[in-house]
Amino acid sequence: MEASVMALISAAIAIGLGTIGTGLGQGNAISKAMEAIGRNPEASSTIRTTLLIGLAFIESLCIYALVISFMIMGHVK
Amino acid sequence: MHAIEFYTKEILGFKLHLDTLLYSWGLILFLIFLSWLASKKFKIIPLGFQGVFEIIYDYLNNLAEGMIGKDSKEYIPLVMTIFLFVLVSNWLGLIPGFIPPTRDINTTLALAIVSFLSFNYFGIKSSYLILAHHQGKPKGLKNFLIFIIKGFWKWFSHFFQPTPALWNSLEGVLKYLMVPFLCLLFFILNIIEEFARVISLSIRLMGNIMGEHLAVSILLGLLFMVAKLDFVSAVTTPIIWASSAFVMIIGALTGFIQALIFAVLTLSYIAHAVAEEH
Repeated sequence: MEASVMALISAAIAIGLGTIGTGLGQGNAISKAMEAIGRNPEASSTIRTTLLIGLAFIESLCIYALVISFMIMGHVK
Repeated sequence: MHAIEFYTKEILGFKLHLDTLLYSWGLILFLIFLSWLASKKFKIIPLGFQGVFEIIYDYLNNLAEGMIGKDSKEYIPLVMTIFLFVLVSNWLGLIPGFIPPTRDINTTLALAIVSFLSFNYFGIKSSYLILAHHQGKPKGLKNFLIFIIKGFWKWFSHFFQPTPALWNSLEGVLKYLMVPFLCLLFFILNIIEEFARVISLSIRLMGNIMGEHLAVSILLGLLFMVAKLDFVSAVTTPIIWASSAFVMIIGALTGFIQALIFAVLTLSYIAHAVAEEH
């Protein structure tokens, strides 16, 4: 197989696998936050702020995968 | 591709991204103009731009008071400036034809370095202030030098952070064997953490904005591929328009949240640096 074809496939695998974990993690975090708001609606503003910061931390993992896949795409001739 | 490539020019051996520079200077002038407009005449009952700025200030100040305490007002100007710059430059990318300066790693790295320098500065300053509060102002040159070294050590010792607690909790010979080794390990880990903060702040913002900008430009590029007067084009064009509008709405939300995250993380790093150990 040519190097550029392998680079294309590996870029696709990098972003694909990266999004699976991020999606699972974010879904878990949001479902727990919804449960917490349902139990105690008065704390919703605190929970929302904490949730957003946590989601951004989880999302940055996916963004690292995106950056890596861009770096690999740079090698495609 | 338009979204990844930059209009570069070499001046004095430096490779300059002219589009990023131009847009960020434009945004800085725009923000200065807006702030001048907002602070031209202060009123008791805020209207117009003054009201908008006061809403943002109140929101950030409430967050900061929760993290830092009552002397949080000192840090709000820096954090709010970062927030406004990142927010406006993220939203600039939503207008077709414009380029958000934050999709460039150089802009976000510069912002992250500003954040890094400022939280270290505030940490050093607060350790000297706490020392002066506990033992009073030094008199004479010798005491002054001791004061400077003590304050610097007070700040620098946070790099060895969990060591004192470990020293107190362990007992026996194990303590003398393990703790020096672990102290070195903690020091290396803490130094790595400082640099990881800068790298993660900059790459998070850059990746988010570049990915979103790329998605919009790819979707709008599809329009040119299907631009024919036949049945396929008649079906796909509205779908492409709708999906690019959807991505833009998501992008507006992402831009706001990323600006907020950048500001809140800077604030929490400052809060961590200025917190007094008990």
